Amino acid sequence: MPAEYTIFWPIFNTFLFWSILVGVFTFALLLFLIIKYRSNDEEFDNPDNIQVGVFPVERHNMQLELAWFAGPTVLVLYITWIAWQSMITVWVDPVELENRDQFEIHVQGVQWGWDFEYTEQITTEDGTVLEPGDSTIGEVWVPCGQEIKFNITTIDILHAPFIPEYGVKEDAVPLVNTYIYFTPMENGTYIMYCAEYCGDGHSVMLADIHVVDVPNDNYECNNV
Amino acid sequence: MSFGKGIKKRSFAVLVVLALALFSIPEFGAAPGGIGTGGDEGCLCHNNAIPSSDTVVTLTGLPGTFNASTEYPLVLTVENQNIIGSQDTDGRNGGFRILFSSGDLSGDAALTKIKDGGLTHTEAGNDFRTWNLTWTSPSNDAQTVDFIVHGNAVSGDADTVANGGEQWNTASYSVSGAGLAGGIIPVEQSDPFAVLMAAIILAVLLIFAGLVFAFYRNNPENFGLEPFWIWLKEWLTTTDHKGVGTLYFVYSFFFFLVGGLLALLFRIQLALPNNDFIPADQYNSFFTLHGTTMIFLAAMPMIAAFANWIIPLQIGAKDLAFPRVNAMGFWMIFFASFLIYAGVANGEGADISWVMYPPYSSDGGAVGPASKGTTLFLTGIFMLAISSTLSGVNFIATIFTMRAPGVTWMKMPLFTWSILVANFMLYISLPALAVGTLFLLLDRTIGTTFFDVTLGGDPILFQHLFWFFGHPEVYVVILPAFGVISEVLATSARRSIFGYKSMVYAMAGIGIVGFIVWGHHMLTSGMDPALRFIMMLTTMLVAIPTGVKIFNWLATLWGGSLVFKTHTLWALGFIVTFTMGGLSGMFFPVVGMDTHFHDTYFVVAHFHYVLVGGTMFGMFSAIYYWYPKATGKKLSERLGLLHFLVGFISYNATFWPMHTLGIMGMPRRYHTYAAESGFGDLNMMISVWAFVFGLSQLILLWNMIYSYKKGIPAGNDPWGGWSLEWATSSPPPTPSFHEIPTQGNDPANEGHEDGFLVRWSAKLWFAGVKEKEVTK
Repeated sequence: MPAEYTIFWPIFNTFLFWSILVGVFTFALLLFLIIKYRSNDEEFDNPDNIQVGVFPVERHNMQLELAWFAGPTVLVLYITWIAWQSMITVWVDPVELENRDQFEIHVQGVQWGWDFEYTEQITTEDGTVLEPGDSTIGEVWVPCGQEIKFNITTIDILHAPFIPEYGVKEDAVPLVNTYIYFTPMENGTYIMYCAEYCGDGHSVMLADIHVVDVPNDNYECNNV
Repeated sequence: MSFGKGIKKRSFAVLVVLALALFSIPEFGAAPGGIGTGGDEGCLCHNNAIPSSDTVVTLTGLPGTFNASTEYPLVLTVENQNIIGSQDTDGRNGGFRILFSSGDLSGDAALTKIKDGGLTHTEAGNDFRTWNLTWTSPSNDAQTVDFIVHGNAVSGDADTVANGGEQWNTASYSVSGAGLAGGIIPVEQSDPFAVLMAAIILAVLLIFAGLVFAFYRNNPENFGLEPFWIWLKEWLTTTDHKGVGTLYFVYSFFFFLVGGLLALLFRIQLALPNNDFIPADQYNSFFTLHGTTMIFLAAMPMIAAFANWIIPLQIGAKDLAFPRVNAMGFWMIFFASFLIYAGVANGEGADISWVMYPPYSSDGGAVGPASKGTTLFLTGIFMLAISSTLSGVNFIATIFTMRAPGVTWMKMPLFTWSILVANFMLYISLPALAVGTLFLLLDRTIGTTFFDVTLGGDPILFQHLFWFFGHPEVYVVILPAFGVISEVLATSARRSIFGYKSMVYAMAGIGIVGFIVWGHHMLTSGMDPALRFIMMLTTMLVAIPTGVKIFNWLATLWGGSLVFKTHTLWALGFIVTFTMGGLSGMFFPVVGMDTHFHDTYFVVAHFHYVLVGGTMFGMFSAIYYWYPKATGKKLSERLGLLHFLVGFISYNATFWPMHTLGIMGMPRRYHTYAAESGFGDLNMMISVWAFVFGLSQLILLWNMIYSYKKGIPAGNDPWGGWSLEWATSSPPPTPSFHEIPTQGNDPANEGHEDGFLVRWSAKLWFAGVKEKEVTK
C-alpha cells in the first residue's frame, strides 16, 4: 500500500469522493425508480401504445439530455485538471532535473532477479560501504529523505520494477532506459515486485529496498 | 457432405493429413538466431547459431539443496572429441558463459570475469576446457536457483571442422534452497492439467451420452447411426442464421464453462500463500488460456450468437447477407480453439498471457522462454482475427442492405445499432491484431526481427498494435450488451426507450473515442510522457457518452410499469456493476495512480466488473430475453431468480475484494505470494466466492436444458417487445420471413423533421445508400 505521503493518496481520495458521489446518486435514483415505478399487476399499462412491428413513440427531452451530457463533461474536465498534478511523477522538466540532487541507481532486470548498480557511495546498516560501480543483487540500499532515481533497463525481456510503498512502477525495456523517481521518507525495508509478466519466475522476481538514514546529510528522515 | 466423387475424397484426405501434421508437430521448424537476444547476451559462441551435440558441457559440485550464504566449489568442463585445439599448452581451448539466477559466481580473477549479467572467460581463460569456480549461495534460501551454462570447444585452427573450428552446447542446472521446503504449505500434489483435461473429456462424454439418450427416447425403433448422422450433418452444414447462431451459442457457453473451470483451478492455487497446487509454468498457461478463452472463445462468440439470431429478425431480413461466409466464420473459430489449446496436450500450453507481449512471446528470454505451444496459440489467434473480420463484414453488409421497409437508420432497434457500431469498430481495429500476431508468428518461426531490439526491432510496437485493437475490443464486447440492456429495460418498463437518438449518438461517440484511448494501457510502458497526458484526457472523455446512456436508461424507467422478469433483474444488475466498473476505470488514466495500479489486482477487479458485470450480465439478460424466441419455451423464472440472486451476490463478493488487493499492491499474474504480504485472507475469500459464482452458472445450464423440454410455451411476443423479431413465430421459420415484413411508425412520430445532425451524418456516412431511404 502506498505510504501516506505519496502523491497517490490525495488523488485517490479525490477520485474516490467523486466516484462515491456519482455512484450513490445513480444507485439511489435507480432504487427510487424501480420501487416507485414497479408493476403491481400483470395488466399492460401501455402509455406509449407499444405494438409489435411498430416503431414506438420517440420520447426525448433536449434539456435533460443536454444536462446529463454537460454535467459529466464538467466533472470529467475538473477531475482531469486534478489528475494533471500527478503528471509530475513521470514527466520531469529536464532543466529542473539537472538541478535536483538525486541518488541514482542503475537497475537491471533479468529472468528472474534484479541487479542494482550504485553511482554514489552509501553505507548499509551493518557498516558495509558500497562504492560507485558496486552492484548488489536482489536488494538495494537507498538513503532516506533524498529523491531516488532508478535508471531501469533489462538484459532479456520486459520486466517492471514495482514498489507499492511509493506507488511507482515502470517497464524495463531492452536497450531503452526508463526512469522512476521516488522520495522515501521513512527508513525500513520495503518489497519491490516485478509487475510485467516475464515467465515462470515472475512471482519470485522480488527485491528488498533497504531505506537507511544517512547521518549528517541534508535530508530529514522519520525514523520508525 | 458427399464423398461420392474422387476429387472430393482426395482433397478431404489431404486436409486430414495436413491437420494431423499440424497437430503432431509441436513447433514449426524454428531456427533461433542463437541463445538469448543475440550478440553477447546468450552464447552465440562466435558464428554458429545451432549448438552441437558433440560438445558436452558439465558443471559439477552443485549441492542437492543449498544452504544460505555458503560457498560451493564447482568445476566446469567442456568436452569435445572432434575439436582439438592447437594454440594452448595442453592442446585444447574453449570458452564458456554461465547465467545464474541468484547468488554470486566467481572464479580465478585472471581467467574469469562477469559480463552482461553472466560469468564468462577472459582472454587468458580462453586457453582451457576446465575451470574451477566458486558459487556463493544467496542469503535467501527459500528459492530455486537456475544455472544456464554455455560451453564452447574451439580449435584455434579453422580447418579442423568445417564450421569454423568450434562447436558449442548448453546445459542447465537448477538447485533448490534448504529454506524452500519449509516455506511451502503442503497441499496434496495432483497434476491440475490432468484434472482439467479429465473434467473436459468427462463433460464431452456426458454430452455425447445425453445426445445418444435423447435420440433413443425420441425414436426407439429407429435407433442407430443413420438418424444420428443425418442430424449431425444438418448441424455441420447449416448456413441458416439461426442454425449458425445456435452453434455459436453452444460453442461459447461450452468455453464459458471451460474458462471458468480454469479460473476455479487457479483460484485454488491462489487461496493460500506459498501454495503449490499448480506449478508456476502451468499456472501461467492457465491464466493465459482463461483470459483468451473468456474474451475470444466465450464473450465474442456469444455476442456473435445473438447477433446471428436476432439481427436478421430485427431488421426483417430472411437471412444474413452472406450465409456461407457466416458458416465459414464459425468453423474457423471452431478450429482455432483447437490450435489455441493444442499446447496443453503435452504440458506446453501457451503461457504468454492474453496480451502476448514480446520479446517474451517472440522467442526472448534465454533462461525461461515461452512454452512451445505459443506458436500454435498465435496461429489460433490469427485465425480468430480472420473469423471476426468475416462475420464483421457480414453484419455490416446485412444491416446496410437488407433492412425491411420502414426500418430506416433512425428507426432501427438499438440492439441492431449496437451490433453495427461494434462491428465497425471490430472491422477497423482487427487488422492491428492480425498484423501484430503475424509479426510474432514470423519472429518465432522464420526468424524475422520485428520485436528483437538487438537487431533494430521494437517490442513497444507490439503493445501499440495490440492495444489499438485491444481497447476498441472491450467496446466491441460491451456495446452489444448496451444494446441488449436498452431493449430489455424498455420492454420491461413497458415504455419506449428514452432519448433514442442520443443513445445512438452516444454509441457512435464511444465508437469514435474508443479508438484514441489505447495508450492508457501503456502509461508505464516507457512510452513518451507527452502521450500520457493526451491518453489521460481522451480516456476520461469516454465517461461522457457512457454517462448519457446510463441516465437515459434511468429515464426510461421513469413513469414506466416495471415488470421484474429474470432478464430485467440481470439488466438492473448490469447497471449497478457496470457503473461501478466504469467509475473504477476512471482511476487508471491518472498517471499518479496508474503507476501504482497498473498490473495490480485493481486492474483485474476493474475489467472483471466491466467484462463480467457488463458483457456477461448483458448476455445473461439476453439469454433469458430471447430464449423463448429461439426455442418457443420460456426459461423457468424460479431457477432464473435463484441464478440471479446467487450469481449477483457471489459475483460482487468475488471481485470487489480485488480492489483492496490492488490498493495493497498485489501484482497480477502472480503464481503465489508470501505469507507476510497480508494478501492471504482476501484471496481465500475470493476463492471461496469464486466457486459459488462458478457453480451458480450450472443453474443457468440446467435451466436451459430443463426448460427446453418442460418450459411454458412462449407465444410470439412473451415480453411485449415492439421490434420485428417478436412479429414472427417462436421459433421462427426458415427462411425467417416468408414475406418481408414492413415496420410501422407510431403516428406520434409523424411530422417530426429529422434534426440537422441526423441529416448531416446520414449524408456523410451513408452516401452510397438511396437518398429516399435515408431521409424517410
